[in-house]
Amino acid sequence: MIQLILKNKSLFFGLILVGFFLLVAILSPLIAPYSYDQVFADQLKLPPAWQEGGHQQFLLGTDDLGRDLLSRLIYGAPVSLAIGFFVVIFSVSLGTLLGLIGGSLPGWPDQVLSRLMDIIMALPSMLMAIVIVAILGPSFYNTVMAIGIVALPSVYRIVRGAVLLEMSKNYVQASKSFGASWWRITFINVLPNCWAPLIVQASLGFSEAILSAAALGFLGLGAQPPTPEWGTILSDARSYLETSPWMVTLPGLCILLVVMGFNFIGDGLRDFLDPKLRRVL
Amino acid sequence: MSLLEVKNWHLAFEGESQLLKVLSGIDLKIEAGQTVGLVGESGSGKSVMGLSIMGLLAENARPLSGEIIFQGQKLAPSLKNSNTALKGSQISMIFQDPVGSLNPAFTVGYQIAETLKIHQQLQGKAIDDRCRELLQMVGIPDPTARLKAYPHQLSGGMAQRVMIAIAIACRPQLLIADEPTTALDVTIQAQILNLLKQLQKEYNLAVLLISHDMGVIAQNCERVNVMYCGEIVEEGSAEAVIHSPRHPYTKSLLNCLPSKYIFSESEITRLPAIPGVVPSLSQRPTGCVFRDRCYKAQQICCEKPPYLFFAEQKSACFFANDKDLGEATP
Repeated sequence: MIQLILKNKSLFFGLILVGFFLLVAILSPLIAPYSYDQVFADQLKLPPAWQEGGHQQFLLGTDDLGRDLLSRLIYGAPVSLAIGFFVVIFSVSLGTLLGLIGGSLPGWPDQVLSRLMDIIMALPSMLMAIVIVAILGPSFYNTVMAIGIVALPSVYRIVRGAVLLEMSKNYVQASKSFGASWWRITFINVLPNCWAPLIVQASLGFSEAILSAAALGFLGLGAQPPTPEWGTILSDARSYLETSPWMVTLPGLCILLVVMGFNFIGDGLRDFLDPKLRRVL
Repeated sequence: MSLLEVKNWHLAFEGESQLLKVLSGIDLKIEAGQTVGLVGESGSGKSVMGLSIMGLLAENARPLSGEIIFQGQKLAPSLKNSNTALKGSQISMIFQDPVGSLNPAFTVGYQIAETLKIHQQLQGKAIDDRCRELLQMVGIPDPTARLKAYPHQLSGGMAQRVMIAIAIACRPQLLIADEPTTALDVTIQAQILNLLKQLQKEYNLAVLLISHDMGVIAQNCERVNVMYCGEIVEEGSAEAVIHSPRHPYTKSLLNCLPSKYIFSESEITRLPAIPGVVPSLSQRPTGCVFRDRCYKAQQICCEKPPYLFFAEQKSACFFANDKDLGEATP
């Protein structure tokens, strides 16, 4: 098992990247040098320690209000990961449930659900999320809800497709011949056979959710200050792009690395869970 | 009262533009404990008949008339996934592709237990014991270890044994075996058929054996139904149908058995075949359905469908009463 993971390079690097940020998120109160909202009024816009004018005390510099950037980024990790986590839980559980229903009941349930998903997909996803947040008001849970709803159609489509494929297989007919009910066939017999694409989608959904949350934060609709959400930090710093570029670069880099990590995991899992590809690797 | 009775069963599939008749006027009777064979070429409607009884037909199937009665209870024309209480407990079915008929995500033990859970109020240990007993009964060595095996770890013969174990788990009265040995090699085929025979005696199980192999049918069945183009063209006791067929189609089928030629002393000849193919659903001929490929076809065969000649042995042929049907020469 471990050897197989080591062999799969993208899965391996993905796990290392995500594992690192996960560790930072869990240990954030312990490893952050300062609190995320502690203000050092005389140390505004300090560059990182290795640059001219930097200070050993503030390793990655400070922001326009004199808050330690490293601490803010460390405290931002649990926020971003939590958003990703809750969005994935929400969209995968609801999307799977609807996908199973849509895929196993051809006719009006499938039609209604599929058209509903088409409607969600027809709207630009960011616009849709903005509308939902604008209606519900910006907060952590509303951000999760908005991004979760936007992510729903892709999960639904994957599950529905997988269910349609499985439903045509012989074992489903055999199950029917043994008197299994619709409920048992769909949720007990077919669902475990749809896991592989679902797990891949979940890990890719994680990175999409973090990205969307950062985008919402950037637009001022995500987590509200002083919550150290990476997108929000990035947004607050954008007016200093020319004078203090590290304030924008560093949170951007964090987003990039986490998203890349989850994408690697998703890619790696796709190969890992596909026995046909595994033999080749 | 027969265990299962199919009366004048007509079935069609809804095509893109018209209804395609698949089965027309099937009459079938199975007594308790009896083995009844259903034989015919691919596309003759054998499997569809089996699925009709199980109520497993595709969405576009439309029953036109007739009924299917099991122990006095009307099964069809309710075609949806209904009669779930009956399926698996009273009637069960095994399929052509045994490995594909098992769910790849679950162990063998779980899948046997599932049927028991659906139909019988068994709990924990009782289910385990029964599963082990069933695997033993179908001749799987080391059942305790095999219960934890996944379908992909089984060979075709093993998987079919497991399927049989699941099918007989609730002691059904009727087993529909849809080409149970087609995907298996010949030695395993014999083993599986022997197993079915043995279980049949033990449980007083009636079996509807669907096959395209006249040899399998001849060895295992008491009554034989020969199907062609969705019609039963000949019906009778296995002995009568095999030894003195009354329908040219049966005769032609028997003529195609390789065993007749392989061991003959005479010089090597080509294996005979019935000329032509089963006509497609949309192009069923008028009159006798077999006339295009029949060596005895006359003018009358085009004009009207032949009636079943009622005697001990039924045959849908105008010439069924001829002393000699003639030699089936392709």
